[in-house]
Amino acid sequence: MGASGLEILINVVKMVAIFLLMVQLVPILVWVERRGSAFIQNRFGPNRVGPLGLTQLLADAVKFLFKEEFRPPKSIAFLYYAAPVVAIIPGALAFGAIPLSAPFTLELGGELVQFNFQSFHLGIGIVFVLGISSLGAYALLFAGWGSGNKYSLMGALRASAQMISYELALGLSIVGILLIYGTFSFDEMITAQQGPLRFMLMGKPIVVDFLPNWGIFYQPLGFILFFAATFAETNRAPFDLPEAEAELVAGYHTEYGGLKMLMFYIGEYGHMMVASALLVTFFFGGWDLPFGSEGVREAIGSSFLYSLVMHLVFMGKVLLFLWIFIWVRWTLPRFRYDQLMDLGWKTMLPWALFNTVATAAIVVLFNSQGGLS
Amino acid sequence: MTEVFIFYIFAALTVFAGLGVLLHPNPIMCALHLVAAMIGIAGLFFNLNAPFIAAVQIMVYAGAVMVLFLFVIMIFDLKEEGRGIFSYGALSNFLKILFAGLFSGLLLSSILFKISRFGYLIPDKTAPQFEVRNLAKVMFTDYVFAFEVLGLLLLVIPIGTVALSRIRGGTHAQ
Amino acid sequence: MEAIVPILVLTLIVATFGSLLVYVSSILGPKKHYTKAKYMAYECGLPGEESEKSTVSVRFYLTAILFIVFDIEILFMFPWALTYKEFIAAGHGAYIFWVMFVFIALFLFGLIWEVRSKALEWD
Repeated sequence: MGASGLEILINVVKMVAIFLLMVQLVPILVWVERRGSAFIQNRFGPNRVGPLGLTQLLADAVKFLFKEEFRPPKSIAFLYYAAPVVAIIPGALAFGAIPLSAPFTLELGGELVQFNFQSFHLGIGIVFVLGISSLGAYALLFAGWGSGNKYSLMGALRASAQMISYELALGLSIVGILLIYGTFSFDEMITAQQGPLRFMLMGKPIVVDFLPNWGIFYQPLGFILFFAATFAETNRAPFDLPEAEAELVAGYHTEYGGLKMLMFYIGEYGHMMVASALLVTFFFGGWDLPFGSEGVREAIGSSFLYSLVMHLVFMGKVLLFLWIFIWVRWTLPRFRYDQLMDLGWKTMLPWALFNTVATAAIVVLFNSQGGLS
Repeated sequence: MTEVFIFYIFAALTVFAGLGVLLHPNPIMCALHLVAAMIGIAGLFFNLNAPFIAAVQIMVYAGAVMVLFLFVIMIFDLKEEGRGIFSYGALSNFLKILFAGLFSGLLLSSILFKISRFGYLIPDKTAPQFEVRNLAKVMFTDYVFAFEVLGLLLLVIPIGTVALSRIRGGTHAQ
Repeated sequence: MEAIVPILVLTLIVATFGSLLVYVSSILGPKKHYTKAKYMAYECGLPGEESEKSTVSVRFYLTAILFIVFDIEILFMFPWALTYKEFIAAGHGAYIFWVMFVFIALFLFGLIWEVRSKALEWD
């Protein structure tokens, strides 16, 4: 096997490792969610199996494996079985396109080869992630129509109408980010966010030494809109109308059980991880450690170890946002459906439009001599 | 070599999904096959070094238009239509394939005519690569008037839809 | 072109993983035995009588068609935002701002029309 064969092997291993990382985070997140909700509601939560109840989810997974295989007779077999598989694909593909750490170089057969710390490197990063996430509605529609149950169908319709409504606010808040960075590529965005806060004011450069050059300082309104829209996109509380148990039993996965149900969970947590990773990449500098990256690189020396350390930094930021997702779920009550649609179309969309125009005007005013005339 | 191989994968996906659209008796399944065809076309665009167009194809057609189609199919109860002569059986499948074949024959003959006349089909390798930046520069300078007219056209669509949904007999009737 | 191979490989890996999970659980689970109640469509305690393929509200259709229009408008803003700073650097900052301002004004006019005509009301 030559150098190029080894290169392909490393790329495949990397791809599988990143996918397994995503799948392995799900049980941990479910544990955090159950323990965290218990903590918030002054209960104990699962604490019997293993230390702090950590192996509870392992036991649950084994139980899921040995559940009876069941398909409702009115369901459409292909759609019913395809829905859980389709549910995990968009999240995995979108997560694969996000750089999780600094690229590293390895010496293969005497020559240095550079590897990106992501499944595949794309120049059009954001647009690819948006396109793939817009396919997420199909898992819901497959499950809703394929189950042959009216609760499933209603849940799926609500979920997809909600997803497409909030996709508008999501897309528009990304336009503001594009105006600031002027690139589709995640790598170039992270590079632009390194170093101290600096910008041009009327042609004069201004540097603020004690703040990192993060996107949140340029797009505070865009951050709020993006964050709120991702809650709706991932169907998490307070936007979890599709599974409002008082009205719709369990929404689109009413007729699912066992491991197939668990796969919908993997899909949901996968979307949450993608949303958190995007938030970190757009607004919080990605894998960059503010004021410390260069020092760490010099202290470590090895390119691969440096990537691993930066990956830990990235995962730390992502886990913080995942915890906020969980925290919000157990704090805020659920919206009513008309309130949800009103918020999406009549509040967030106008504000996102305002954010786009305001960002464009400010970028012109700060960067050019002529102003707007 | 790889790109030829990948072209055949996506071409096969598109063609078989298209056949599924024609031949499946259930309208919902037809729509889902159309989604697969759209994804196949997006893959072809990606293979032609136009990833932005591919992503737009997925977002607009697979992500938005097909969701609308599915909603429309679910709004109308299509059971009665499902029993029609054009939905089941060898005769209806024969007719569908016949008409689709006639249409693609028309398309193919016009393409072949164009090649025999002008002699190009394979993209010019020396032509500049597709870049979103070039697209934007052309769109916002040379074609800026067309771009603004397009904005006006896109304004007409929601107004017309709402006006239609409010005429007598609709659920939004006043 | 190079990037599509890893995307296809990852799709294949994920799809195989998912199908394997569904298949393995169907082997390991206990065998089915038929009971009438288990095989009815889920209903809150009553025998299911309504057809599951009931029709849906026309509002979903309106939402979807409005979404398509606004989605296309937002997609047109992407190339604009991408090249915005290049236009400014070339000295056409005001021009490129007003080009999109007109477009966004039309967008906003459509949105205000929708809200005023109560097409977005869910009750």
